[in-house]
Amino acid sequence: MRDWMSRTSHLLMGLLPLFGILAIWQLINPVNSPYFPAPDAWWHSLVKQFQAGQLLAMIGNTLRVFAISIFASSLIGIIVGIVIGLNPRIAKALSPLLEFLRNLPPPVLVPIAILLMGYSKSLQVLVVTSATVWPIIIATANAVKLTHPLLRDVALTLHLSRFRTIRDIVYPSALPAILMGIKVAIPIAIVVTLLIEMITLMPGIGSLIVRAQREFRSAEVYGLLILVGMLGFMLNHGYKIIERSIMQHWPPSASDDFK
Amino acid sequence: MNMFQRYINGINISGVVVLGCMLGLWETSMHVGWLDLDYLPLPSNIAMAFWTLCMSGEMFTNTIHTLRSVLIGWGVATVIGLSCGLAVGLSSTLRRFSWATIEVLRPLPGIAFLPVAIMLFNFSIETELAIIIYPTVWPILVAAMTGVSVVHARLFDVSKTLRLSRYKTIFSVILPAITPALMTGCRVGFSIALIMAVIAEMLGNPMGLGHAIINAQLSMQSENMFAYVLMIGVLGIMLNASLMATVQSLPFSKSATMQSAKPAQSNSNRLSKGPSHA
Repeated sequence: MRDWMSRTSHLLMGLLPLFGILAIWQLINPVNSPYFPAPDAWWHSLVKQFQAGQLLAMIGNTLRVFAISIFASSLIGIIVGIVIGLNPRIAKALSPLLEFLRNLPPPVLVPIAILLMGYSKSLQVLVVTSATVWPIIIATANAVKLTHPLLRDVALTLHLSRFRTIRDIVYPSALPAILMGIKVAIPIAIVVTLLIEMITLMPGIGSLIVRAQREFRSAEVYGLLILVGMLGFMLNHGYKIIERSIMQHWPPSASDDFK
Repeated sequence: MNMFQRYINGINISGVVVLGCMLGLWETSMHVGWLDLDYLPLPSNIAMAFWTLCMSGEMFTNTIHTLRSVLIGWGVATVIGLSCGLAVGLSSTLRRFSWATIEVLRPLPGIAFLPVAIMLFNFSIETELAIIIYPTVWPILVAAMTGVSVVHARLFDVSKTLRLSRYKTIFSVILPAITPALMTGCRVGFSIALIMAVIAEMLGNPMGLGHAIINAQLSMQSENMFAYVLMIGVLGIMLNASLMATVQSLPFSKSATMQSAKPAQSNSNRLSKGPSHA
């Protein structure tokens, strides 16, 4: 109980500067300032949007694209990463291409995809996936390449099939690096999802915020900014919790067949 | 001759061949008609467009604009991130009163600030710099802060024994000690700065490579668009490589990384001396 209280007080202390600035902003309250509306106006605009009934649907749209893309890019990234990591020849042959794609800022893919495929829902997922898959591929491939030689010998000694080697030895040993790669991919996925919505004005939080800015509803812009911030916070920290719960069972214990 | 030989050996032949084959396949399949996307240009057309844009000087002006904004934004972010990170890392009171705020502000996607920045600064270079600086600050700040927190306590004792002033302690003890961590933060920040510059130019500041890409997309000049994309990729590779080279040539980063790398290396030696190598 005391531990919980001290943690809460720590949190409150740490949030003091943020709340302080917001409180001062509210107190000064630049009346009818088109540029700096007070925080209560942000809140009212959000509530109004919520009551109009479109806000939740928009959040849902954005989150759905984000979730599908992260899932798809994790799946593709892990498979391709393991293939590249296990075959030094393929790794070498693809390295110039991978090097180029890794250094290419992901937002650049958005206009290419729009020009080639037009505006559509599947385009959104495709672009976000193609932007987020690289860090996962690279992290997986590197970790697989660096699998400890002893572990490979274990597979040889036990005469494991290729599939079992990958499932029981290569994949588990690369898991921490894979999780790290996904962690890098998450902020990229958020940014690219919002960027597509901002450029194409397809339904989502990104298009809401750009519309609000174009029509100069500044309180709404600030309100949506806070909303996006909270979503970013939740997605990043939610992933941290998932990662921690997966890593609690790491290093993996021998599976039942080996006991 | 020897140099030449080594240069040849350095080239990744299979990589070049694969890249060449893919471009060749792209080119022929478009000619034959296997690939039928209306706006996909031929690789040869992209190369021509690249050349034309270089000759007309458009490529140069756009690249210089993007490069300049990235460097300015990253520089400002490094100064802000390093000084705030040092302050928060060195003072436990400050850390207590700001840690949660940093944790809340850090994951805020920088792109969400774009509409606010456009509202405040209009479509201008200020908007672009604001959008570059905000997300770039965080990795550098966190790197500096965690760097300070893992500085060996004995180093602080040294500065106390030598009666170094606070200013001297920071510049000759702490900064060299945190350089490796800081460099990692700066590299992460750098790639973020490039991404944000492109985004800001696409939506917030109608100049530079990002705007050139969007413009080419809107006017359906796909070969120009691909030429600019190629340029951004090349720019990213070159900037990353030069940053790495700079880091390795820094006087104290070398000694510091060597010191910190030593135990790790001996460790890996010990591990790899397993029976597999016997």
